[in-house]
Amino acid sequence: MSAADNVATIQEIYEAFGRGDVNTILGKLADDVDWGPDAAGDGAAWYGIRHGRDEVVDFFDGIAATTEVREFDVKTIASTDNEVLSFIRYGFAPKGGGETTSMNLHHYFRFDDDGKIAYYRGSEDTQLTTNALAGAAA
Amino acid sequence: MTAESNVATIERIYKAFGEGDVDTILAACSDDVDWATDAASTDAPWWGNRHGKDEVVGFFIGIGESTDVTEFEVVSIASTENEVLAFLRYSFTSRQSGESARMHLHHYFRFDHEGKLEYVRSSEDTQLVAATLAGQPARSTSAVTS
Repeated sequence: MSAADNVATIQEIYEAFGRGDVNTILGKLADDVDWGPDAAGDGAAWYGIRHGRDEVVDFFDGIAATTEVREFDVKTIASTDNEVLSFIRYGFAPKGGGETTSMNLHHYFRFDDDGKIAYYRGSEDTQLTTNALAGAAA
Repeated sequence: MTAESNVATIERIYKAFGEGDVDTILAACSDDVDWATDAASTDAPWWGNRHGKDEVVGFFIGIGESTDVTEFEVVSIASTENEVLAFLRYSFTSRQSGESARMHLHHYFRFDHEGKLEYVRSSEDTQLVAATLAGQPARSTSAVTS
């Protein structure tokens, strides 16, 4: 698979995320994908490292169950032969109340030889996220 | 300036960071550079938006005075025509609390037409950083698994 193919895959994933189409996202993942946000804590339902497609479902379920995504604006996508890195503007509101929280996201994806995503790490302002969710729950 | 020269600039910046050579890093910045960690709070001395080279110095002073950097490994660098994105492994020990943390960093750099940095955003596990500096390490496991 080419770098352009990998970028196209990420663009498809972002479009699928926007319409809540998790199955399309799962179809782009390797069977033993290593997937997680760069968060050591447990302050959000989507935190934690997931292995394999079945566990990745929990990542998206966690986002959908606890937040309403208000903004997902992909600012740029760059690639190497087998990696895609992106920079995104993101906004969410906790379900059940709370103001919209805005931040930047940074994504890193690594692809296997079959063009499937083998490794993902996404970085966010974990302190801001945790405080926003805790504030809404309080 | 080309994408290749921009990547070379970032590689030079990373090397200078390892050597504590802030002047080389500042020389790569535009006069009105917009430089920040993606952190809404100011719990770490290097957090907060900085504008211009003089303020960027405070970013590096904040890191240097409060932490000992024990790992700074560039895993990947990718570029567009005027941007560079990077993914790194990073470890530090807090000088005040004595606690250590390991995490990934994600960097976004945008260059102006003269090949100078005009916009920088660095993302880290802010909750883990704040807890480590405060002597309250996070309860869970590291996201750095490979």
